[in-house]
Amino acid sequence: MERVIEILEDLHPEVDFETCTTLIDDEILDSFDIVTVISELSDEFDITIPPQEIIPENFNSAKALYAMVKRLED
Amino acid sequence: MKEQKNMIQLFEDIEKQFPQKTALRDSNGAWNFAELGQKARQRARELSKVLEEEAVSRQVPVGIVAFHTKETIAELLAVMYSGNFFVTFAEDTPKQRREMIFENSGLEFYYDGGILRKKTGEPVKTIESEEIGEPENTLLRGYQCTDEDTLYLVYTSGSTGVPKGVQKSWGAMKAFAEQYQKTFSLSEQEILGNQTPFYFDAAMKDVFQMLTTGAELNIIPDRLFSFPIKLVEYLNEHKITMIVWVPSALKIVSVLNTFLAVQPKTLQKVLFVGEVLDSKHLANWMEQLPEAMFVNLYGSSEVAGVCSYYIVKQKPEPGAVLPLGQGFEADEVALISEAGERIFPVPENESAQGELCVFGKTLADGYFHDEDRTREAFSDNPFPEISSKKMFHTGDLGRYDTEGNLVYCGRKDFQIKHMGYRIELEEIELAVREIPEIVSNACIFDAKKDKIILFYQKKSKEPLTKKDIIAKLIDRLPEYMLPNKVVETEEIPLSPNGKTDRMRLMEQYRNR
Repeated sequence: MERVIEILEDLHPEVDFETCTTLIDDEILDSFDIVTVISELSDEFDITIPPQEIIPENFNSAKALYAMVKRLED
Repeated sequence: MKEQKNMIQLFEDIEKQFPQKTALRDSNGAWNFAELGQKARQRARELSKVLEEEAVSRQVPVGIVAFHTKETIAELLAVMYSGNFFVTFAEDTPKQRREMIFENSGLEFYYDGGILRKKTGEPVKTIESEEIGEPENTLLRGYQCTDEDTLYLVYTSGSTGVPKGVQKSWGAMKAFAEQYQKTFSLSEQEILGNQTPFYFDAAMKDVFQMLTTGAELNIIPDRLFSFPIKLVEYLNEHKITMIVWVPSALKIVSVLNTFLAVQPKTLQKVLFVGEVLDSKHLANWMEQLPEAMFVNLYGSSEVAGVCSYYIVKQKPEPGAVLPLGQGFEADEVALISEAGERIFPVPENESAQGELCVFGKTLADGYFHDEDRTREAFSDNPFPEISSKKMFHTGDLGRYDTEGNLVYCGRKDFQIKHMGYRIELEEIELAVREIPEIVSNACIFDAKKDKIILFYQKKSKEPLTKKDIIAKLIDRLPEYMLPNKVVETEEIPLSPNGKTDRMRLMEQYRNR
């Protein structure tokens, strides 16, 4: 979870990722951020994120991202 | 002699020919050409009345907060109908930058999503025209606008920290629209999927293509670019035939393996502009659309539209760099050596490197109210064989490849292209310099990762976090200019002549 937050903080140091659950709804992450997040998560956790997982629900919070990572690791 | 029509008259020809055809579509529905024309003329009449009351008699700038909506286009066309010129800027333009734009352009009024406001922000009461149907349009000055009149200003990053207002004429845009239409056989049949925001100069190609050819301009909701499966589904559902996107937008679709889940079906023309598209991603797209035409466009804000193009012949090899191609007209883009001489293609060999310079009818008039910077970038054309009054120095370096195509070789200065935006690193550094806790700073650009990296040295013992720095910069810089990485350092390395040593910073960054 910490690594996920670090990746996000690198993109937007001004956001509190521990609590924010509206990263997409409030347009905090734009499309370029999403690409960066996906490539960093793939490298960091050695996973492949299929296009079907790239949906708003999975990117709205650090928690949701982490849940997706865990799911894909299994 | 051929009748000379201006772009308002060209638009009305289209409106008369295809009144019921869709002109614009966004997430709130569509307008046909008759509706767009009517809305624009109504706003133009209201605007003209307001300006008349203020006793404004010359061509004046009118601001437009550029939303990604049909309304913004109606406002833009309204300003043209009123015979004035528009200045678009993003909704989230930081206050300081907005003030600089207001001051430099001298604008007194701006549209803000359907509301006309004074520059103070106070809404102007416009008199709604009561007539049903349209009254005589003889009063609208736009019909009399000629090639020399100013069409719009677009503000671009300046290395002195003050943005430059590039001034473009009706004639330059019309000349471009004609070249573009002819080169790519554009007709009213195209359904154009617009990605670029309307405060971004590249978007004007899409807008004027719609206005002058009768194509449908489909404004793709921004959110879809985060979720590429939905994006490709949208392209298919709306039968989009043509896209002119920044490479990063094309890359998003390809890099996320979207094509494994959904394939584009209706695209025939895929054009990209603003920066380099990786050959890998281009190849992915080309595999999906073997029948489509792929075009690399090259331009600069100082030119209406773009000035050169390269039609991709075959799927590029990994790592191959796409050429910029050739000018739309002969001698539109030329290569000039440091000695000021022309460099020509060498048969079957690469030419020497030089600066890419642009000539001809599509050139901007210069930077608004800034003669010094205009003179620096737009010199008198010294080449009698090229018919052009001026020569614009892009600051881009290039050479001819073995086939005589122009190839991009980097910049003469510290201008970068980041997410399709043109940015002067010095402008970011100047904004950082205003933070009192910071002693010195410098920016570098990691082109491979498309990241701006800020190095800073702060006064000892000052409690200043990276978060604080970004929070302070948000008030001064547009979001796309914010550093992606902030690194604290003991000292900013200087070269022997006292300038920031960016090479050494780059080494430090790579060795971290």
